[in-house]
Amino acid sequence: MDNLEIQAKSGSHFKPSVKLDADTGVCEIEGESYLEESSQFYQPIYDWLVEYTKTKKPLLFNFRLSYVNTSSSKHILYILRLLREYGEQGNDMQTNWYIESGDMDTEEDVEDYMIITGLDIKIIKI
Amino acid sequence: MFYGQLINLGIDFCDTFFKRIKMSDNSVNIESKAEFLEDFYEMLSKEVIIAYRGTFEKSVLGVLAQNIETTIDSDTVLKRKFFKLFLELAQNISDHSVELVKTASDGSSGSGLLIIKHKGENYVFITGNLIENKDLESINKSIEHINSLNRDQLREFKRKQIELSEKGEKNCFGLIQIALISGHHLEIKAIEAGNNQKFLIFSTEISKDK
Repeated sequence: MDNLEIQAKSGSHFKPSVKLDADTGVCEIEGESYLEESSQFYQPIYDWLVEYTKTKKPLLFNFRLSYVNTSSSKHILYILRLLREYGEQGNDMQTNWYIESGDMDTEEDVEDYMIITGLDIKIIKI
Repeated sequence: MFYGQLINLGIDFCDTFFKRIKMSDNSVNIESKAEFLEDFYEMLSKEVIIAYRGTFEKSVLGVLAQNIETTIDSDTVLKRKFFKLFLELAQNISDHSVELVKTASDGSSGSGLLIIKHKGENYVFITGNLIENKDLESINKSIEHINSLNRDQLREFKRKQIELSEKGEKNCFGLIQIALISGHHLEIKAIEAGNNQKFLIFSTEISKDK
């Protein structure tokens, strides 16, 4: 299984960078997600995760998103639900969300994601 | 006509601006025009951070974002909040304005007006765009309901709206996000624009000390 990498333009406020590592099971998505065509962006990520979860290998997903626009948020929810199911099936799965200290808006968003999906996300303030 | 109504939302500079424009239109005197431009430039320099009318394509947003990065002299958290509110409002115009303009990528994007200015201890965000008359009632109801909720209630309402969004049903998720980011009431005013349309003026604020 191949790794998936999407690089954001330097200084871009619109597209996050993505690194999904099939060897280590460490997945990172970082930046700001202001996407009009959010389905086009998130579908390959979701598809990659579906494939990876078939391996039953450990999975660590680190979100470092400081802004998710309304169009992107439902795709984030799809990913979070997939992660929850993977964990519930008894697999080794951990989800972290890194938040800049003082960024209460993002912290509340993550709390809401937890309530909606039922996934336990570890909030790490940096 | 639209801009005169902005005064009711406390936007004094619009009053001065359009009085000056009227004066300028009636004058053929180049000195008067130069004086108008000088005053207008000074007014913009003192109070206005961004004044833009047009579409909110990514190329435009990139330029405006760069402007925000360099203009807003504040800590990172406030700058981020400022930027999030700017993006949500830009997206609101892009998605909901009925004044559509062709984009470079052969698509179309909603066009409208965005002004961000200083107001004492707050930043004021004002948008204006055309909507269909039939949409006004539901927008009014949503704004009224959002303004009646405290923060916890608003977050609970947001979670319900996200579920509607996931099902592809009509929702006011974007407006709730704007209210949560700003932490202030949302104000709207609709002005008759003809052709079964209204010009919707939308305003909110964020505190500079957040």
